[in-house]
Amino acid sequence: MTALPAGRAGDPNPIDTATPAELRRRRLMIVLASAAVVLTAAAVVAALLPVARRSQYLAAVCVGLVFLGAVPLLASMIQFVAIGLNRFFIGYERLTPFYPRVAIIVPAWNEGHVIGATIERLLAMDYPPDRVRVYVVDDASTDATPDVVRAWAAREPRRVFHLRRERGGQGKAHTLNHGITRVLTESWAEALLIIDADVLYEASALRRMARHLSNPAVGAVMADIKEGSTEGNYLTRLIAYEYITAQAAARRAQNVFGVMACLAGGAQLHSRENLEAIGGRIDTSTLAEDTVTTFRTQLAGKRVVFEGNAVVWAEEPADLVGLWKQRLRWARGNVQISLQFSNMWLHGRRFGRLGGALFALIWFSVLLMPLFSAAASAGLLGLYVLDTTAAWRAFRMLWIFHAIVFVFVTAMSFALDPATARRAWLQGLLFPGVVSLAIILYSIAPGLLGAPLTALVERAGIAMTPSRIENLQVFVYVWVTAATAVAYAARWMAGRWRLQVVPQVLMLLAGYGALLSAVTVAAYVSEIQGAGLAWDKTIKTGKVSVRR
Amino acid sequence: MNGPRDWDRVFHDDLAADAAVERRLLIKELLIAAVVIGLVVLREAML
Repeated sequence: MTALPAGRAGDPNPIDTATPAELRRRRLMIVLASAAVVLTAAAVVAALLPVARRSQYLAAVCVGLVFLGAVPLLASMIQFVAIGLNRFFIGYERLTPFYPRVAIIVPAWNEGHVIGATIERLLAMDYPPDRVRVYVVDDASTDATPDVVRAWAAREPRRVFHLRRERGGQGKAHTLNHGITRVLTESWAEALLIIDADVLYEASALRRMARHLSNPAVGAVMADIKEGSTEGNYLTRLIAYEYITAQAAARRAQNVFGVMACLAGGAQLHSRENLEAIGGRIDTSTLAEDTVTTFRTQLAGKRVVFEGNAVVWAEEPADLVGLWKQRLRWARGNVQISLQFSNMWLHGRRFGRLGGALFALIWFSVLLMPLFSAAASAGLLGLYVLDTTAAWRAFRMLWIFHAIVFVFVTAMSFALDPATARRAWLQGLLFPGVVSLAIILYSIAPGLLGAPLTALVERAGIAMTPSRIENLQVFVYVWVTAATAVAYAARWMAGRWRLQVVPQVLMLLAGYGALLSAVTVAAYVSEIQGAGLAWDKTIKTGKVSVRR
Repeated sequence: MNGPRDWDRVFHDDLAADAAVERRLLIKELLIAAVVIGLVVLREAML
């Protein structure tokens, strides 16, 4: 893999410095203008066509919309196909033994119940002991955090340091900057490891990351974060499976493509040179500071590497409300970054692979997932009105492709991380949701599912009349969009109802992707409304362990 | 950690193990791709 080209003097800075109000206005302008242009153009073309050809034209538009609905599937497939090529692109052949002096920055706000164990584990890592220092940045904690860290600093005065911020609550980026500034004022550190207070590093994780910095083209390295809750439930196992797909798989593919979307917040190692080159501080203007750091590193001409064999364990939210809060923060951050780096997209000549079409496909297949789903449903409904046979054919094509992607992605995920797959195999199989899974099965083999289902319904005394079959068809056409609404309803109920069974059942029906899609819609709304940038910390209990 | 570590050797051992993991991953991927393609072909043949 080659490094991104270094920025040239005089290159325009892709980072937009508009004020929040200007950004909001621009957001609205972009959304409204784009929608208006597309709709007007479509209407003008339809009006200009002879009546006889109008339905053909509309059918072609609908087919195009259905194809748009397949974009996230295509992006997923491309990434999963690339996984196996990681061995040729990760750059092992260019590495030499290298154990830099590493300053570990641990942001901590009221982490009294976990911080002691975290420090102990960091000091016990299998890494030259005189080459690790732990800097705990205590963000004005009001619990036992300062006492615990001071006790460790007294016991290990050359290895553990307590940095106290008297004014806290501004967010993780501000806390990190306090520690980074202190570390960079001293000459000791050759690399900085940024972590979360509750993550557990496997003994070999740091050295497996650090070796990549022996290659001067590499600016930052991230480890593979795995879900490690000791008291896991259905949701944490879903996240555990999701992390195989989103971290272990997707990041390997991004190694292959030579462009990384985001360094994990809890496991990112930077060379000192890299952090200084990007300004010596973490961005504080968005909710996705890790992504900004990742982009800036690559725009400065350095590679970002994912090391899947360096493993870090983290506790993830065990309830829907906590997960929603965490993911809404991430999704809003991604929307903000898409706008902040608006000059970069599809400008590969100037911004290297970050500005390339492939990276845009990967990035926007997630960011615009609700719109792609809506496009598929709109296209199928439009075709249904124009030509029911064409609609059915388009639907079958879309879902057979979905089936192929599902089988390949699931099998590869299980192969990638068999240990996680053993405890989360059911969540892996049900990841798309029960309804989508049924549609996938029906698309592959209509006879296998269709006949028994019809018999079951008729045994219940409901005749499968042609009108009911048509209603069922319409239902499956709109399901990809309806699933988002169902997932949103699950979140709404989870926040208000004491009984959690109903939201859990709705989640099971809608699937995890629908939940992420609903979060993304909520992020659009929050950003258009210009909601505040309060940094809500995800609540952790410290019940996490290294699961191997 | 007991006794001095030979960190050069640790580096080479890690690298050999990790390269093997990535090699196996490619083999697994090729097998899975072959199975998926086989299933698609089988389905088309049966319809």
